[in-house]
Amino acid sequence: MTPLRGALDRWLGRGKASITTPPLDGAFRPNDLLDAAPVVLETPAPDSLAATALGLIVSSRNSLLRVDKPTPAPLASFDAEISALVGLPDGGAVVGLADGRLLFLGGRRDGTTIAADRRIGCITALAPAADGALLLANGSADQPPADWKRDLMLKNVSGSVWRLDPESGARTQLAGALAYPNGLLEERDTILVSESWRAALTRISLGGRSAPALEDLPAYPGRLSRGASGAIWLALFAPRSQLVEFVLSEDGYRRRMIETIDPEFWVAPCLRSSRSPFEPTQQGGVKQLGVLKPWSPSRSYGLVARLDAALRPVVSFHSRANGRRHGLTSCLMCDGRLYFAAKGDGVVAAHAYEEPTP
Amino acid sequence: MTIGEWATRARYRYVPDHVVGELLGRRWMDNVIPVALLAALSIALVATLPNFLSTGNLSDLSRQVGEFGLVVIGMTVVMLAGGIDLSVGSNFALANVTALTLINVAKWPVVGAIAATIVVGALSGLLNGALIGFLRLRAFLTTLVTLTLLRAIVELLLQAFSVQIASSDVESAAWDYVGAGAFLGVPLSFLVLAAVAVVAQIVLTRLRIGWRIAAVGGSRRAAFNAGIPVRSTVCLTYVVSGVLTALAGVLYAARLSGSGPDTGVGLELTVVTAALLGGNSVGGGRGSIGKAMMGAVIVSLLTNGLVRLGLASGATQMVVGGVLLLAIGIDVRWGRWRHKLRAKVYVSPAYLALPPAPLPAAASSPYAMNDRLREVEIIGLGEVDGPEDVILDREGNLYCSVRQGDVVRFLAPDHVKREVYAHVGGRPLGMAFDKAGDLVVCIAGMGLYSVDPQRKVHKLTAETNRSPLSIIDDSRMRLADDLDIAPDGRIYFSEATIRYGFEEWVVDSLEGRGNGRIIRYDPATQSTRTVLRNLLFANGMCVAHDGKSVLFAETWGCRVSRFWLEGSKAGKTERVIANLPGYPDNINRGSRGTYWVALAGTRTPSYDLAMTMPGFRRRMARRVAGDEWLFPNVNVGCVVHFAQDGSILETLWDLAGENHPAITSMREHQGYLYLGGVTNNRIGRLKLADADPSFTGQVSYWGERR
Repeated sequence: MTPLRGALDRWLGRGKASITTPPLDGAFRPNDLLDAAPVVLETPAPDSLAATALGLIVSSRNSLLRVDKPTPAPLASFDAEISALVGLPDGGAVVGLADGRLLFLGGRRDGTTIAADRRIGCITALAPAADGALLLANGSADQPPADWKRDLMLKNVSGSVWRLDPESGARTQLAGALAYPNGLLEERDTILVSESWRAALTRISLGGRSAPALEDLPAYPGRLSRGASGAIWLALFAPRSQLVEFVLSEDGYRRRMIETIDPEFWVAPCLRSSRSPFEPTQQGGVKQLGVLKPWSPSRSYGLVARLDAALRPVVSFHSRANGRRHGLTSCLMCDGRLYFAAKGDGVVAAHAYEEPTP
Repeated sequence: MTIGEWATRARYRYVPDHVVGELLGRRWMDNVIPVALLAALSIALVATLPNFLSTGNLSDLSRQVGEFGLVVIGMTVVMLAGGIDLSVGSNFALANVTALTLINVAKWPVVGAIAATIVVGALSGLLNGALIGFLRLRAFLTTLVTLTLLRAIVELLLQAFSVQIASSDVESAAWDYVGAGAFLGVPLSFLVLAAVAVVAQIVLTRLRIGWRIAAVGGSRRAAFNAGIPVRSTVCLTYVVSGVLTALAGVLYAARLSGSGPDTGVGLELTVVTAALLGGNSVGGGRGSIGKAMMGAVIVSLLTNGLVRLGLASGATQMVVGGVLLLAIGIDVRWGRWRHKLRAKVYVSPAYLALPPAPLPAAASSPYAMNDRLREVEIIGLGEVDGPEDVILDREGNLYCSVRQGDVVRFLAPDHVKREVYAHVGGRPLGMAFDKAGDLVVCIAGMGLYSVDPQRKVHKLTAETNRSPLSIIDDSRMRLADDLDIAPDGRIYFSEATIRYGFEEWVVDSLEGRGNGRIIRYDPATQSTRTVLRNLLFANGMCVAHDGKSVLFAETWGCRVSRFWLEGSKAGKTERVIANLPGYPDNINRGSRGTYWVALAGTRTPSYDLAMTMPGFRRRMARRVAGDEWLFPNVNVGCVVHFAQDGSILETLWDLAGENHPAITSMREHQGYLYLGGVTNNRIGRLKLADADPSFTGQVSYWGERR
């Protein structure tokens, strides 16, 4: 009965095959707080924020920049694009490059380089473990970090989470078959992972078992960072949309689109939409009387959410369809301000926010 | 082209999906099931029963249909007003026994006896009508009670007179003629039925009382609020039913000349079955005499056939009961199901493969992208809502057609003072001045209108010839879009689509079928003809500088074509620009023999791909909310300047769409280009570097002022 019903549902587009996305309601009620936040730094494609002994730093393409005291010259530059960055408890930082190498800066291991491993070619996030090891999120088994859109449209579920011993350089896989792990956080003896393409947070236990922790997010979750009293900050880098979910369900169209069209013009989420007149648009996205309505469907969006200790979303900050702070890949709480990197719009900004204490 | 693609193309070229939705929208679709049933039943009976088509059998059958059909017509009238008459069986028996008693026992003359019987039937109908119409008792229960009451009267009459009826012999040629006579081979009862049916049809469809009956059945409260005397109308329907039942009873009496206790027993059931099976609604408001007749014939055929097949009488009743259940089911389900299905299948995308789009990104392309339109001056910001078309008169006043149904005018020379030139209603779109200075306007939802210099609005045309095989009525104009006027005064205008109104034009983009057409209106003879059909959203129209051809744009086809008006190629169409990088809207004349075409949006690779996958678009239309549909990019402004032969001279863009997204029209006037947009709140004005500063549309079309 069940396989028959599944096939019938797919044919008629109902039941599990119906095209729905979670509404922006409850803790996700839209606002314009991200657009109201003052700019701290303007730089092309700011990606990952990290707190170090030097202060707050951000990765931007090949370089590391200081956020709080901007200097004309970058703090460090590399020969490959930076795909992940995290601050370590000893005040140093680790940089993951797009080619799979890891570099330590500052702290005890300053200057150490760990060579790439061919099994880990898409480092999307890093996190320090309590025992001094390093946790790695490998977004995809076959796509580099820059091709995340292709990974989504191929419906890949090939990501993995790894544990790296910095002393020996030994890597062990903790979990596999993840739908683009894109954020990591160690919580006691489990690891919290944001699985972008599943629009969910997943908890991985020591034994490697994974269990859903928070599902049905209205956007694709990115990097995670810690807030006060067990809270967690989550950056969501692109919105889910009915149209994209529909295209994902249409294998014929999806395949021909991937084969024949430039990824920039795909019907797929992106960090900043409406850059080119050849991008797809949607009927509700037509400007009326010269104004783009904030509620119009958009392939890009700005969204940050604060989850309480039980992982319930409680507060969110938005940059809506007509906003100018889209494609948030990371956020970090620092000195009573929420810093966020809007990669789509090339801005690091900070919103004053006092975290509630229990 | 792959085999799969070829198969898709063939599938969508030869299977007319759109017809299904259009058929379901027609009212006569209600009759499809009864007609099919009738045909199937007739074929089955002819095939299974020997000599079914013999004269004797047909004559017999038509007599039965004659009596039965009269009662069904009465029932239909009652049901049309929202009621039901279950007393017809007893009333029929009462008429039978009354007629026989008066003729056989009382020896009344035939005419007097028939008249008296009909009066008796009318009185019992009046009893029903008074109780249901004026005292507002429930029709079902009341007629159930009168069914029993009248049956009791029949029994009493039979006790008193049955022996005398049976024993007496009537010598009356007239009475025999009523029972067995025929005129030109057609039995009398059938002729009576035909006459009654014609009269009833005229009354119900052409006379005030007929409309009132349908109105009461459709919505009692609305009919009351409209001033219709609901109670007397309802009462009247029962009287009609009583009269027709009595008439049927008389015919029956004359045919069989016998009366028994089982005359008319169960008649109400077969009559209701027939009325419902024909497609009359049990809830009222929907029904016709044609449907009643169809139901009557089906049920008569069925019972006649079953009897002749030799089924036991109980089995016949069972079959009739089963058919009644079927009819009730169809009555309840069909209407709702039809509308639901129609809403689902009406949008039916077609296969449309456009040639690969030219690449405006390349600097060497004639479509090379720039931001020339970012410098336009703005006129009337926030004072106009969607100026789809703009035009200037001889004095330089600027006119635009806006969403509120107005033609708004900005006065020369500075275009600051604004006034409503005329309120035309509807959604005015394209405009043109004729030789006399009348402003001719295409109005979506209305047709072609003109505004004379005294600002009086005249209707020119709203109707064209209907295409012979169209299912939807395409004689009315739903979306008149743009027009231009030939030197001989004939007006050529485009209708973008015949399947959607202005509010739904985006759905037409999803279909990508040739739903558009070009229509010609001749003011001299006031005649309207469709000259070209099956165009992909016929849009901009522009008569060429030499007046010998008219250029037109097909929006979803991304092309501009020429329709020859005179010369050796008159009546022929040829392509002028085959492959634009966007969706063309209005076309207008430029100076130095050139033309301008507005691109309302750019083509996107994702949408071009979707146009070759109709199934994808059909599922998108059903499963994804309208606001989320994939759509051409209309947030970019673009105007293309081209020469007589279709070669591109220059392209003006507003890439960010900040000043002028979605440009739908432009007019060149004295060295400036004026821009309008259907979703904009402004009009733009751009100084042209190399235009003829003396060029105006008025002089170009109609010469210097006389």
